[in-house]
Amino acid sequence: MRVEAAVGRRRSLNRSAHVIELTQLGWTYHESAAMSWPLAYLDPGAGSMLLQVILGGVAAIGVVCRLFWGRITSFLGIRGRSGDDPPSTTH
Amino acid sequence: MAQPSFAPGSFRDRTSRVILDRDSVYRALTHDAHLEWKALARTKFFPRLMKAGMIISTTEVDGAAIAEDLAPWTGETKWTGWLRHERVELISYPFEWSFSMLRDAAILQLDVIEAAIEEDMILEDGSPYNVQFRGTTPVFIDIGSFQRLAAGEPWAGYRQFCQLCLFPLMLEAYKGVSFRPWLRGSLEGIEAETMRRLMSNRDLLRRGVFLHVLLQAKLQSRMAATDRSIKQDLRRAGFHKTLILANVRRLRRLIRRLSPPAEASAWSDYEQTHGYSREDRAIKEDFVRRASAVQTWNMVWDLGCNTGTFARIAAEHAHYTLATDADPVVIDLLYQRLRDQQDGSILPLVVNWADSTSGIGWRGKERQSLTDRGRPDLTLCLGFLHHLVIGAHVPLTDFLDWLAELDTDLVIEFIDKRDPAVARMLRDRPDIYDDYQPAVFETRLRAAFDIVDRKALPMGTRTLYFARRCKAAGIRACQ
Repeated sequence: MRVEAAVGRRRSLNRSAHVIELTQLGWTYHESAAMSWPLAYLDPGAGSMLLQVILGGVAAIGVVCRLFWGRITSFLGIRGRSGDDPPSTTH
Repeated sequence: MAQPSFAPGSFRDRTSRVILDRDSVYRALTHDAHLEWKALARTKFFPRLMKAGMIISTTEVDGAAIAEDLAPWTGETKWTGWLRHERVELISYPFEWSFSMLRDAAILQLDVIEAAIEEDMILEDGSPYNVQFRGTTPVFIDIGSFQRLAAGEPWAGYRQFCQLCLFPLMLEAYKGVSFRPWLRGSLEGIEAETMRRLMSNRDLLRRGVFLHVLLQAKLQSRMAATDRSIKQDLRRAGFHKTLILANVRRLRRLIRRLSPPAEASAWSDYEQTHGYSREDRAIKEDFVRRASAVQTWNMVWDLGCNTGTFARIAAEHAHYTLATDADPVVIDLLYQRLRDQQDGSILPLVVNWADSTSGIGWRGKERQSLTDRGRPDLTLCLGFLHHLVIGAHVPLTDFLDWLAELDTDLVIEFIDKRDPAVARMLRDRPDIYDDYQPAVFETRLRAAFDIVDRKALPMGTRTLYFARRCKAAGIRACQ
């Protein structure tokens, strides 16, 4: 992931790459897949989705580790997995 | 004959729309929704659950072949697929259900999700409005809600399921507070933060409260400000459908164990307190039986059914019967008894006719009043009139006018003021009910109905009437 100190600008989208700038954290995500829920009309609630990891019980321990490991390393500025690097294309 | 029309509550999901036409329900699908349907039709669980009566009977139909009167819709290019569903006899809403009905509807949704997940499908939402009752059997009707489960994604409907099913059930089970006014007042249900404020410290120890209420409320407020894509994060962390399955099973265990506080309501011991002698009772049952037997009714409504005795008698001569009472405990008992007997033709609902729902939701039409959803051709008002006129202060003539507008035949009981049941109500308040007199009652009744049969019970204070609409009785004009 690249760190960008951008402030509140959103680049234009194209179908296959999607750039979101997060002003609070200064992170940039590049998402190569299209949005995955074209049909869902409902707001699932970010907190409720996250809770489902905990509700998954023992089965979720692995998921929790991977979830928080990513956040911790990102926060510390350590490079994450190679898959997190953005593709060089697209506006 | 009514024109085909869009079902008023079917608009939030842009990918399908429901059209009501005579005896059928049609669902129009966009291209994307049509793909989801094709995936659903290929699964094994879908026909299995339809056969078991858990999902409404559904078939795909050719848009071009549907009757001409659907042409305004079938021509629209965005609809590429059409489904036909079996029609539910009478639509009901969660705020009209008793505790056990909402609980059974919630469990049905979880059962459907569990079956669907095994084959990589899921319900996109978690709303009890997707469940309808046919008699006492809950049936899942929102076929448009089925979607292919994308890898690594959680159940989007969990939050809605909590707001509309879990929290209302907990409210009644843990606090003894009826969930009906809450669901009627807010179509979105009870939010986690609201529920959290209702829970005392002691309640936090109750099953399911810490996780589903407290933690959810906390996480929701923490995550509200973020722009992060949680879905993205979860997918990368390897979120798996087994986690959804674990949650669904946990929810089901929790909900199965919820039950309302065991307390008698004022009406749940009616069999002991009703004040009829055995002879009176037998005469009343016979009167109702003879009146019901004059024809086969399409729909019978029993207003104030209590134990459901008379609804059952009338149901023997009707295709479908609605048994209502304002007391939720009584309806819950009736529902459980009917369910055990597997009676499919009587639907019990909690309805206070002095305060029944008018249209609510978007444009006041999304969810309709009961009288817009169906009409009776026979109505029973037994031991009921005094509750409305004296208990709820509805003018007698107004009530009879309303019955006349319903265009229904009538079996009605007039209990006069000397009777202990009415005397008790007037004991501590001034008797301002001048209109509540037998003479006034009969005169007004005759204005819109023809009194075909009349019987005064031996106890002397109660009179039964069987009254038919003037048209039905073949009289040109009533007096």
